[in-house]
Amino acid sequence: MNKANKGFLTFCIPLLILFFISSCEDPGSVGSEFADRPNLTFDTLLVSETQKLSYVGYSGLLSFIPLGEFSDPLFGDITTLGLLKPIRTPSVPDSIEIAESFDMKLELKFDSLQTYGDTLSQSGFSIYEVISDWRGSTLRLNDDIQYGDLVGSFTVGDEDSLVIEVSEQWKEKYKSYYFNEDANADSAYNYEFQGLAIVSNQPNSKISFTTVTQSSFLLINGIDSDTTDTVNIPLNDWGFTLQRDVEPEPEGTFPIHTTLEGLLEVTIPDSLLKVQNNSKNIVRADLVFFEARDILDSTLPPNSIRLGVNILNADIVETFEPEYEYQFGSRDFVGTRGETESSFQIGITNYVNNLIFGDQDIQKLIIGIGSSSGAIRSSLLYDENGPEEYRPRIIITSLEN
Amino acid sequence: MKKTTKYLLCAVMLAFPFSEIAAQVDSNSKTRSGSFYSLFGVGFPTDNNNARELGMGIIGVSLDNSRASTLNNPAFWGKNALASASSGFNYTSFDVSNQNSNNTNALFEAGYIQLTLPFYREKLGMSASMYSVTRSNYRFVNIDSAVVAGNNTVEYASDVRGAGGINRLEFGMGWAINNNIAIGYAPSLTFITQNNSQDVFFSQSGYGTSNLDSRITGSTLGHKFGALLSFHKLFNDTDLLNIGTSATLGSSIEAERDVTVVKQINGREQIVPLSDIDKGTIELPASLSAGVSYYPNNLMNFSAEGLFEGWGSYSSPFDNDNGGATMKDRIKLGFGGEYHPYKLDSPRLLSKLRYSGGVSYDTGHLTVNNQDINTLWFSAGLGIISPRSNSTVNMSLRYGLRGTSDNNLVKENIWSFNLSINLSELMFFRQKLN
Repeated sequence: MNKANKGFLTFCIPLLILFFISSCEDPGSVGSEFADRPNLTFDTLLVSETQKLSYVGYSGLLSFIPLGEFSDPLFGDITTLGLLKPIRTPSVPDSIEIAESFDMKLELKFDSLQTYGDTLSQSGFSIYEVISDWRGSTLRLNDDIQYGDLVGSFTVGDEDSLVIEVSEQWKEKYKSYYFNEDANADSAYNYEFQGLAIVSNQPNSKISFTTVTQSSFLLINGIDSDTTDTVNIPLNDWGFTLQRDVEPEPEGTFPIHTTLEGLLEVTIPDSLLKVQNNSKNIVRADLVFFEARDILDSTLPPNSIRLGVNILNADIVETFEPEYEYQFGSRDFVGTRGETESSFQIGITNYVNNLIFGDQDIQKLIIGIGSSSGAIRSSLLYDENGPEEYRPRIIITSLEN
Repeated sequence: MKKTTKYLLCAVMLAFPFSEIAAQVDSNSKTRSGSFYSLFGVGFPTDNNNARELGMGIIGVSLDNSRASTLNNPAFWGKNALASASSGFNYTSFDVSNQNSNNTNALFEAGYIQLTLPFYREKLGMSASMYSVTRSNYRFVNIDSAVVAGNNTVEYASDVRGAGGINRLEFGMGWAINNNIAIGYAPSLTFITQNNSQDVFFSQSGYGTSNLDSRITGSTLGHKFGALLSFHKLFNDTDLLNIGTSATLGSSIEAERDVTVVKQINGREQIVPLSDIDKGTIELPASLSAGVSYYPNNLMNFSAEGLFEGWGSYSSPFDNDNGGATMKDRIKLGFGGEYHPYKLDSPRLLSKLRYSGGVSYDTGHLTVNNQDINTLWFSAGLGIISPRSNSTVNMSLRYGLRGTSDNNLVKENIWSFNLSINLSELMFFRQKLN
């Protein structure tokens, strides 16, 4: 380029800059009725293949220890047995010197908001020394727990907390481990001292929930003197077992429990889904279940309540340690109450897209409410044999022009 | 849409209420949407003119091109004395209205690029160029709603856009057989790259954002012919009459349409096809243009030119119904004149320029709701001539009236500013004197 043209180009640059400086615009939708505007369309695919599943859930080291029994006309006669064991060497302030004569009590704190059963009733419990081995980390609902001598008893109504006397014999047994200074003292305590079992005295009609973080044993020092000091002995291990007898199952429904005794395996109609939707722009896919609200309401005895269920989980079927995965594993899909109060809506958009467009080849989802809290929650959902309008379904929402 | 843009839009969705999202999407349209009527077919026919031709409102088949190359008549390339590089830019503002509402669209775009090279001065020359034949540049932002389960309503904003169109990569030759006759031929690779996009954002969680692209691609060979008759000293000693004509043959593009959508697949965003690739033939129309330019003296010239494009024979298997729009043959007529005071060598600033003006009427290629979509243009132009070289900068300002707001249609008041730069110099020329 010669000098004249270079100079000329320099002259042009400000013109170009001027060109770029444009005023604000107000683009909008005039004429958009002529364009292909996207519309939402909805397709419903009924789920026709299901299988009821039942697992024995883990019940140790959870947030609550359910105590009591309740004959639920819908979900069976439920009886629980609580297990707890104090730690051997609680943290004691330096200013306190623990005397061999210390007293010991059990303090139980109850979740005031959660009761399963007759809220107005009183429940009686007996406390026994456990004589069989158990570990909270491996405890299952149906583990057989053997217990021996009676250690104490209590009755609970609508109290938030109770302080319960325990037997001198059990206290002395604990003290022998407390003051044991042998090298293997901890090991001996773990293997030989099995803690206490809280057994429901029949007939009780409610299950209360002990909060683990707030319940403890109380060490009361200086009972021979004018002043006493109280030291908390937190729980070293805890859990519960649960027995559920005679669970009726209304036709066309399936029960779900946080304790994994009720789950549903759903087979997604994979090929149908692909045929009907492989050319659709899916923006949402929901797996919808309907709660048998009428049956739930009509089967509840007077003054009784069940713990509500607000979420419904769907997990891609697991083959390794399914109980652990369905109870403690991360949820693949979490559903919430749907647009109608009695429905649960589980968003499975990514799963459906993976089935249609990706590598997903597992067509089975496990529906349940497995929980690591220890609260006993149950609900009844309609299955594919339920009333037509309440059968489980997949709702596909797509954009079409 | 680029991934970065998508991530930005997602972040915006988290940060702002839905109404503000729509506003954000709206504001993204700035200077990126053009004529509403580019919605139909393969887009709206482009005026492939430099700003000098636009300033006169003519086609450019008979206007002498000594200081601004033309794309429209290959015969002129044989008369080139100088090598040149030229390009143009357009800024167009559309005030769009129908019976219910109005809005403003704006479009900034590059127009063309052309290189010309004389092999034998004023005898044989070539041209290489890239320019658009049609262009889609519509954009609509709407908020719609749908009733979902439980009688709840979900709102969604859709951003519907069109971009691209038919382009030509053209190489041609012109031959000035003698002082009176020149001819030219330009084969071209005619290709379509048109993308109709649709992004949808929802007011509720649980709905995935949809990013859909419908992309049409294909190519074919095109052929353009031109001829020019020049008559000197016809009525006086300094006059010149040019009669030019140019014809582009119709062509068939074997094209395919690929509809894809971005989805979260196997844990990451992937582009997946929504259907099998559609294949089909797009029939492009032939065109014929002709015109007369008369130079009574060295200081002024007048041109009258016309263009016919047979859009009635256009067809494409990829066109949507779009409200029953049909294509029809298009005729464009233009008349304009130029005044060249710079040739007087006057020291006054305003005398160092070239002025032009004109008017054109375009019957359009569309009939929508039984209404022909025509355009009336009023044009004015200004040429800045480099005092020390043969380069020029040409600017044009046009005001156009397109369509009608009757029959639920859209009327566009258009302001268009065009700028083209033509850099010319002698190449391969050994100067005899220092």
